[in-house]
Parts: sequence; structure tokens; C-alpha cells
Amino acid sequence: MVQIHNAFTLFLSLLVEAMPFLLIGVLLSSSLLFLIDERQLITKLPKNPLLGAVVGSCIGFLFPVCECGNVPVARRLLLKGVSPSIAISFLLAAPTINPVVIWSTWIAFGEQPFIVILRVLFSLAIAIFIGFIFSNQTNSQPLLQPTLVKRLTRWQSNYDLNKVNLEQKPEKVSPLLQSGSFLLNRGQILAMDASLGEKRPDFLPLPSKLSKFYLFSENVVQELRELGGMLILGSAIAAIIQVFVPREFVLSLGQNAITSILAMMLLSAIVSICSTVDSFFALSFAATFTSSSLLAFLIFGPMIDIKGIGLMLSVFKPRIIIYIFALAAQLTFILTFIYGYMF
Amino acid sequence: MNQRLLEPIDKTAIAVIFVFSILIGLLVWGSDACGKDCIFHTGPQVSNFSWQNKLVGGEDRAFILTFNRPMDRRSVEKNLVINPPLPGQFSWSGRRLAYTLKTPVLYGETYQVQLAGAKEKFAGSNDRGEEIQPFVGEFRSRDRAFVYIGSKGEEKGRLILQNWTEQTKTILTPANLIVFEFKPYPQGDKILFSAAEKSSGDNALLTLQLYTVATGINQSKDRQVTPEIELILDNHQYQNNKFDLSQDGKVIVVQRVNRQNHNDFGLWIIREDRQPQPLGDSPGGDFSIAPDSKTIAVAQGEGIALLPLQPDAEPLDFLSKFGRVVTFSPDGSSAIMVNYNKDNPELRYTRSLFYVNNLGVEKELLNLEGSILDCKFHPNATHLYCLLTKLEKAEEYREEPYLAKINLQTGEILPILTLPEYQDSKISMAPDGRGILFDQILTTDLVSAVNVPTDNSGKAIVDSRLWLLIPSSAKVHHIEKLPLAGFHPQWIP
Repeated sequence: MVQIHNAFTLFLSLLVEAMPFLLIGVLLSSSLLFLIDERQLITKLPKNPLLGAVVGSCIGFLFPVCECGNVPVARRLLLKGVSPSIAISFLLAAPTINPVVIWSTWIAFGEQPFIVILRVLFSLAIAIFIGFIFSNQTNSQPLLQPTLVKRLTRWQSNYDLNKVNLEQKPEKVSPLLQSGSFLLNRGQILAMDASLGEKRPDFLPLPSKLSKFYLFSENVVQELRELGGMLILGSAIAAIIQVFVPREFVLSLGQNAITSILAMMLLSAIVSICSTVDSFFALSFAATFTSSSLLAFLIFGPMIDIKGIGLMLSVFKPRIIIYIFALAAQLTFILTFIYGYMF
Repeated sequence: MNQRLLEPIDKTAIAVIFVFSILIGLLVWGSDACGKDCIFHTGPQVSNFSWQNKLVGGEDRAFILTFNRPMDRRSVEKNLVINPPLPGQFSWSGRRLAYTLKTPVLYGETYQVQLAGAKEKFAGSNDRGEEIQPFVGEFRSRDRAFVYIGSKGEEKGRLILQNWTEQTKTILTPANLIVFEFKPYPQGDKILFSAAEKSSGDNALLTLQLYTVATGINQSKDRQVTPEIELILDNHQYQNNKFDLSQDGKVIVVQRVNRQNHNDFGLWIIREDRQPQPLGDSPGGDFSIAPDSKTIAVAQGEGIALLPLQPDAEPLDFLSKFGRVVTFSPDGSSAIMVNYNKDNPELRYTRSLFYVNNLGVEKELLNLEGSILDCKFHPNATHLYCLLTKLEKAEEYREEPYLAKINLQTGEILPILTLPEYQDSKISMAPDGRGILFDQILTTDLVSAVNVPTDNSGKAIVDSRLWLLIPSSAKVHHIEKLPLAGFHPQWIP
């Protein structure tokens, strides 16, 4: 009974902590829907895979969201046709490479500036590396969940069509009147012939501010419903694991330099604490763990946690999440272990 | 599924994961297999020692040792050796050990901090783990040195630096200046002094200018340069009287009088590299800058005004009970003040010495009919050394000075030494508490004595002796006459 009570408390606290950030992420993602023109976005983002990954990891500076807020934004970027390498490097880096998190880490570890600097550098390096690996995959469809693929294909067909229309040179039409039936629409004269279906005339009135707001709020509600559900599920799983695998047990796994890195990585995944505050949580282990294991906690936690896996499952196929998870874990271990040699 | 596995991302990801797994295996194996001295080995070690090769002084009271991993605290505390020994207390914050000294470091010493045999301890493990890589750190304390004003021969009226650590004696100021007052800067690298040109003759006290001079102590011998003086404040429009230097060495406060208009009289403030600025409406008598370097205590009327060191600022407080601040404790948390007992008819014509601290404690230490000339805190702030006078009611009233030690906890007063024929009013406590310097001077009223330094009452000093008292915890104190001719000795911080 006590365990259920504890699990419920943990569940609620995770949810209360994460929900505002998810909301910010969803609001940001919905505003991206209207504020950014996808065609411009794609033309402006670099084509070079490495450069794309670097840019993707630094987008976090513009959108200070933690690991719950970055999923909706990454999802939106993918839906807008941004390459997976950019979206994934953003997904991994944004929770750490943003001003709020860097500032809070500085407050907690200001006396050990190496931890602050290396948290940023290592997170950036891991995000760029994994983003670069995903640039190998030019077609993003095999990575994504079927529902997302459907939306993406719908979008892409629209996009291709527009592109075709743009590329097609207008036929030379005689300025004289033609015979036939015509649709008169906002000054446009459309002949009712076979070409009408392809042109897809826009019969709707231009979106007014009100209708834009309506679309925006509709999108917010829809995303919150989808991702909020996943967050609740993720938080519940994380809470249950924390009750049945207590922190003391995880901490007791750290018995030397190597196992303490692993224990802190495991802890970071289980406690699912938000990246904006995790440095204060980590600080409480400063007495009992090595700097390299604290660093591992600070790098790995924001990238992967159980609560976030639920959200990621709404975007990516499970095996893609396993790749991201494994690569992030291995790179975190290697980098922090090497750091352990030096300090 | 087979088709899916053929996606480029699957191939790349699996290949990279495989390579990383091998790399991790190699790293883990390497750290285990290649022994203690190998670069792949990550054993416990001291990652930072805050006093490494540092020159420390009385104000440095704690060093920090940072370890690269959690340590077995007891084994560290047991194995930490400081040579020569420095008693202190351990406190831990995470992987950092702070060692707070109970007494200041002895000046002119080189200390070695050694740690070997301490063991790591992880939270998850009950056993103590690997032994630390032996650590040896070193730090040095500043030179034991003091400055005085010479009284004989070519040293007359000049600042002399006596460095006991290096066994050297240096004349700091040129022969054309007669030094009247001086204050060393907090690191002992410079000295601020007021002096007049020898040519000014009788008017010396009216033509004082402020200068600084580099002492050159605590520097390697090959870098030592001849002392150069720098003018800080001239005497053109204003006459400079008393001055004080803040404990951080960044603020000088001078009492100045306009040569044309004697009503234009008050305190001026000089900050680093700035022009002097009047401190506003601050007439008053004696003053001293508090150890926080932000406040000044000025005797005003029948009390002490505490003013912020800002031009035209409102007073912070007015202590009507006290008439004078004698001294502040080195950390600024407490002060010694004098109450002239003007409100109490029974105690009229007596003076009471009070200990006042920032927690609101006000403790009367003693009440006497004589005078309270000067007091200095022992660096530990457990004792106070005071120069007091006893009123001898013989045929005529006569004050006999004596030096006393006052225990601030118990209030016990222990007279150490009587000083007959003593006329000066200052004592100087060594920053490590290992010596009290004072002088004994002979003055003359003769008008012919020009171009010679004067004492506080303006009388010309014709002869003097320097004395060193070595405080001890026992009742017997050792006193020694120094083979130097001078007066106003002051330890370099």
C-alpha cells in the first residue's frame, strides 16, 4: 500500500514537473506551424549532414525547452520535412544546449566549471555525432511511426505538387476569350477541364487572424492529447520503476570508477528529472560519486529518460529509439570515462 | 523485417554500436590491466590544492583539498600531515576537504602538506577501495618583517624595513623626506606614508604629502628593485593631517584643511586611480576605516558616527554611548570601544573599555581612572593586548603606562609590563600573533630641534628604543630590546 502511495506521489511529481514544459513545447511547435514557412525553412537549413547536425544541436538556444518540450518541436520539424539528422540532433541537444539549463548547471556546479563546460561540450558532441549518423538515412519514413508517416506523405505530396506547379512554365494562353465553362474565384478564371483537379483551386477564404488562432488552438489540443497521453504513460512507468528499483539500490551499484558511471546513467534514466533542475539533484551526489559519474548523469539524463521514451515512441519506431539510446549511452560512457583519466 | 534491416541507418547504427562496444571493452580492460602508473588507470588522487605554491598570510585561514572521487574521510584525516605542524579543523563538502587553521600560519616558513595512504570509498561499497596516489603540496608564508622610522644618523626620519626572514634591512624613503605616519598595504607590498620635505623646517606638519613606496618583500631576490616612491596626494591647496588605509588597500581617507579657508575642513576619500573627493559633511575628530573597507567610524560630538565610504551619504548609525573606537578585530566581527561614562555620575572621570560584536554583544572589559592608549586583538580574537595608564595620585597626578593582556572570554586582566617614561601610544601586533612591537621615545621641547620627527603631541623625538614582546600562554612574557634605533614600529601584514 505504501509503495502504491509512493508510486502515485512520484508519478504526480514527475507529471507536475514535466507538464508545463510539454505545454511550452506544444505551444512552440504549434506556433512553428504558422510562423515558419516550411519551404523557406528547408531551403535555409544546411544540406551538408555534419553542418545540419551542428545547426540542429544549436537550435535549442532558440527554443529553451527541456526534454519534454523538445519532442513536440522535433516532431513538428520532422513533419515540416526537416531532415532526420537535424531533428535528432535537436532532440538530443536541446534539453542541455539551452540558456536556462546552462545557467542552472552553472549555479549548481559553478565551483567546478569543468563540469559545466564539459556537460555542454560532450552533449553537443554526442548530439552532432548521432545526428551525423542519421544523416546517412535520406528517407525519413522508415524511422517514423506509421501515423506520422501518413501525415508526412500527405504533406510531401502537397509539397511535390506545389513544386511541380511552380516548375511548370505557364502555357502561353491567348489573351482572347476562350469558349468553355469557367469557375470564377477571387479574380481567377479557372477553366473547368481536366487540369482543374491538379490545380486544386483554393476556394476557401484567406485565413483570418481568428481562424489562424482557431487552427493554432486546435493543433495545441491535438498535440497535447497525443503527447500528454504518452507523458502520463511514461511518468507512470518511471514512477513504478522507481518504487520497485529504489534509488538506494541503483546507487549501491556504484562501487568503483566504472560502475559509478553506469549507476548514475541508470539513475538519470530512471528518475526522469527535468534537465532544468537535474544539476541540483546531481549536486547532492557530489559527495559520494566521482565527477565523471556526475557528468554522465548530467549528459545522459536529458537525452534519454523513461518518461521521455513514451514521448519519443509517439515519433520514432522502437528500433530507432534503441539505436539512439544505445549510441547515446555508449558515447556518454566513453567520454566521461576518458574525462575520469584526466581528473 | 529483412527489408527493413537493409535500411542504411540500421547498417550504420549497428556497425557504430559494435565499434563502440569494442572501444568500451578496451577502455575497461585497459584501466584494469595496465597497473597503477599507466595513463589508463583512474585511481583516487588530489585534483586540486588551493594553496599550492601560494604565498599565504594571516588573512588566509583555510585551504581546500579536492579529490577526484569520494574518499574515506577518516583515512584522509588520519593521514594528512602538515610540516611544520599547523593545528586546524577538518570539514567536508562533497569531495572537498576544507582545513581551517586554529591559529594563523607562522610568517617566514615553508609548509609541506602530505597525504599518502588515504583510501577511496564509494557509497555503494562498504569496503574501503583503492589507495590514493601520494600527494605532496607546498606553500609559503609571507616574510616576517616590520617597518619603523629611523631616529639616528642617516636613517633619521626615514622608513626602514627590517626583514627578519631574509635578515635584511632596507631604507625605503629618500633622505630629503621626513616620515610622520605610515600604514602598510594588506599584502605588505607597498607602504602608504605621510612625509614632509626636510627643507620645510618648522612647517613640516603643515606641509605633509601622501606617498607610497614599494617594499619589495616576498619577491624573489633577483626581482628586487630599489624602492621607488610615488606621490598620492599633494599639499598645494589643502593641508593633509591624519589618514587611514582600508583593510583591502583600495581606499584612503585623509583629513584635510583648505589652506585659504580653514572652515573647509573634513574627510576626503581617495579610491584606486581616482582623484580625491570630499566625503561631504563629515567634520569630526578621530576616525578609522572599518575592516569591511566600506564604512568609516568618525568621532562626532559625544559619540561615534558610522558613515558609508560614499560622498554625501547618510550616516548608517550613531553610537552615542561610545566616544572612541580603539580597534577592530581582524575579521571585522567585533570592535573595542571606549565609553567616557559622561552619563553616570558615579563613574565620572573614569573610562570603560567595551567589547562590542556584530551579534549585539556588548561586554564591559574594564573600568579605569587612567587612559586607554591603544589595544590590539590577538589574531585568534581570544585575547586583547592593551596599552593602559594607571593614575598615580602622588604630589601631582601622574599617569604610568602599562601593557595588559585581557582574556575576552573570562574578562581576566593580566598586567604584563609597566613602562615608565613611556610617551608614545601605539603597539603593533604581529599578523601571526608571535610578537608585539612597541617603542620608547625621548622627546624634547627645545625649539632648536628642527628637521626631526615628532611624537603625537608634536614634541621632537631625540632618542628611542624598539622593544619586542613575545606573547605566551603562560604568565611570564619574554621581552627583548631590539638593536635598532627608531620608533613607530609596525609589522608588515
